[in-house]
Amino acid sequence: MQNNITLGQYFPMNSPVHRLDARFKLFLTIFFIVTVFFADGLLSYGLVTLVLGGVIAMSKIPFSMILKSLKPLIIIILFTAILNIFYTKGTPLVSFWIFKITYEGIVVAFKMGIRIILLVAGSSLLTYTTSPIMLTDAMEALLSPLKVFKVPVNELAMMMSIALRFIPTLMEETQKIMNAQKARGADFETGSLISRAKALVPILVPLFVSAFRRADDLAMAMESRCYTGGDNRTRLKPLVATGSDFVILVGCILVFSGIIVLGCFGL
Amino acid sequence: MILSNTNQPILEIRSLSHIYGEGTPFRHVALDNVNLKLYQGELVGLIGHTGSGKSTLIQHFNGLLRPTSGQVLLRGEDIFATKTATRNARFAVGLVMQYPEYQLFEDTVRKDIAFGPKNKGITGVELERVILEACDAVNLPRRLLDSSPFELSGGEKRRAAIAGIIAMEPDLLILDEPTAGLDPKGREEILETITAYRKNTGKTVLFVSHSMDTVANVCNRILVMNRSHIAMDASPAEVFSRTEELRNMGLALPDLTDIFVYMQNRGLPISDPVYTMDYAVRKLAELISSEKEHYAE
Repeated sequence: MQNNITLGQYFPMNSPVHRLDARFKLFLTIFFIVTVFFADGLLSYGLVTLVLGGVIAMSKIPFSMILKSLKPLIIIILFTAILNIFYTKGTPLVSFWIFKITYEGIVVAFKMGIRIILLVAGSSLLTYTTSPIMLTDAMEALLSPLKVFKVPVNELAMMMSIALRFIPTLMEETQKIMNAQKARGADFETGSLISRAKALVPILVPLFVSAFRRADDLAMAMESRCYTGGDNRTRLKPLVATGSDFVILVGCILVFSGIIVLGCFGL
Repeated sequence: MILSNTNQPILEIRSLSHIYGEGTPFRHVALDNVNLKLYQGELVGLIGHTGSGKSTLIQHFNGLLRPTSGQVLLRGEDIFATKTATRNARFAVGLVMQYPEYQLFEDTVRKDIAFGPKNKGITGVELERVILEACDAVNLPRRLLDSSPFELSGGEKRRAAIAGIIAMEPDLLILDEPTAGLDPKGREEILETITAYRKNTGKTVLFVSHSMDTVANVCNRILVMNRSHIAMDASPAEVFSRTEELRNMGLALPDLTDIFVYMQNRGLPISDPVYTMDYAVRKLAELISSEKEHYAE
């Protein structure tokens, strides 16, 4: 198991956040992202953080898991922050040679940093609390209006769920192949960039061979069970929204809208 | 029969534990305080139920997995002490993974077999020698060396993959279910390859197997794993005399032993466990001739 890739890893728990209808959760996550972009002042940022913190606490996901999903982004966050510090015009605080650090720059950099952290933490909370299958079902439901424009929503959803279904399988496979090549003395960690890129060939070739073999097998298995896509397919676990789901949905919409309004006034 | 017991073991496992997914809901203790010594020239069979920790255990032998606690000593030296020690362990302990044919990647069999030895630093004439020797060791026709590994048959692919490990000239050869997914003929060939390899080189071989029959016929020492522990470590005769214990672990006896246990329970006057065909024939022949004498009197 490759435990260092956590983005998109379902973390099963019994919590209100896990139980919330996946469609609502997906919708609310998108709405949350919009809200984060509208947040502007201290008050709105504070509220967004508070809401997210509350939901994380409710989800029973260990805080360390959320931090783990942020770890790969440290460089991006630092990079944007530094760019913003130097490139924002305003009242200079310190200046040397061609560099100028402005008060506005620090504020923008800080905001951008917080924004990225909130976005990633919020969206990884979705994937931590929703199984991939539920997530695709939710996407299919949210995309279904597009059927009017002849977008093959069912097929897209099937492709997506197959892709999601095979990510862990292929990851395991990659791990196995890596181990096997390591057992033959392959070295993926040291050497120049080019030699490290070359070192990937012994992994990629068997991985692609096996991915195509799996695709063939799966297609055969689906054909032999007479798979046809389309509207008439039913589900094993249809998504059913309960009353409390609606209460949460409406509540969150109101809170997020409130924050957006605050953000528009620059608070 | 444990050979050269007085010598230093080639590989020693000291109170080794391995825990997967520590700190997540998927936490799983795969190995719990395992101790093991492997000696020069042994042919060891490792059996156990699916999920008993066999594959996890052998991946510690060449340092692919780091133990959660405990040590792996190769000729007395901790393989995790330095990076060089770990790298040396990769070559000293040749590990053939399950379904090794899926690791073939080069455009010719020759190049693929050369991958391991090249990483070890073998070049030129020496490289050609180890490739040819490995090819012969697994009984792969030399004319196949220049064809693509993807054109070979299933059994040939498997043997080419094993040759890729043998070509590194390891002191210890570990094979994880080398016969899985092969037809009876392919299985037979692989087992012959393994026994012949050990006979010709005098090196230690350990292989994981599901099949009691395979292990019974080939090995001189058997390790039985059950629930993250080594439950038995003994000669085939001893292991197969512990019928009840094996059954409780969900392991089947070799077919031959099963039949003899059945007959023994019905009064057949043979007391020791029977697990190879030769021994069964000899015992039965003795029995028949003694019966004859009995009637002659």
